[in-house]
Amino acid sequence: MTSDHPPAAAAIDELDRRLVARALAGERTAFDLLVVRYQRRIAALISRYRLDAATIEDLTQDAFLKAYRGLAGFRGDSTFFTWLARIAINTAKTHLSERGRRPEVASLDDDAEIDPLAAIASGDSTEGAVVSRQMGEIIARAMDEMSPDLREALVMREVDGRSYQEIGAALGIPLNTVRSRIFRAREFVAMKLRPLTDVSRSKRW
Amino acid sequence: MTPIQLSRLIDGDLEPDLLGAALGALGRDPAARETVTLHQLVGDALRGRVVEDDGYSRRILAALDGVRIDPA
Repeated sequence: MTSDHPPAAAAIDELDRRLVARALAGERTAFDLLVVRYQRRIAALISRYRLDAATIEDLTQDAFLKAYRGLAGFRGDSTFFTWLARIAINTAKTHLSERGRRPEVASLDDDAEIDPLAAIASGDSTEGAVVSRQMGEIIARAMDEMSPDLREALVMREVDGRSYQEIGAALGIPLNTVRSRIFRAREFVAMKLRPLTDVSRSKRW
Repeated sequence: MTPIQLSRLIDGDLEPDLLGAALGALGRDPAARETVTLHQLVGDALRGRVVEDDGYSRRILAALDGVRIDPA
């Protein structure tokens, strides 16, 4: 793997650092993109503290507000997501301690206590994300319906976390074909979701 | 900015010198925002679990309006 073709995690880390730098320079859209990309993972992380849905949403919002205000404090010693996750975990723990609750963490299978931040730092991406039930069902159905070539590329990217270069090497296809398949797979699903969303009619994300 | 470039953006695959143009498109073009929002949602869904609600980002972004980054 050359530096021109970084693995997926390194490419994301590089993108995030550029977005942080632009946000610090006053480009709000750069931080907006970080919110859009990470809000569900942060919500999933906070949800491990056995909280109700409204509290999870409030704490997710609080975590992003704290991160934005404190953005100049991101030194780049860790990935941006690890830094953000630490803020989210501290936000959840503070909330629980103010209510006299011990910050008990639920694992994905609800039978063990783990440290979410340690899991992230060790490269465990199983913290996942939260997605509405209705959208989750539509997406699952669309995945079943799409062509195997597109599904294979998308799963390798999104579930396995492989870089475009790694996918191309594994499937024996050029980089532009990887880009095209991942795009077309996402669009196949997005087409089914558009009737449910109002993003295109909004001035917001 | 083409939709395929926006798809590449969220994977960190877009050329760095196009990042400014991508953010510019996201700032002014609702269709660009929709593409990124839905493409991100697809990935999150494939990695995640489902809940009853979605759409935190719009509320978070609204809450950020008027908030300033603290000086270093």
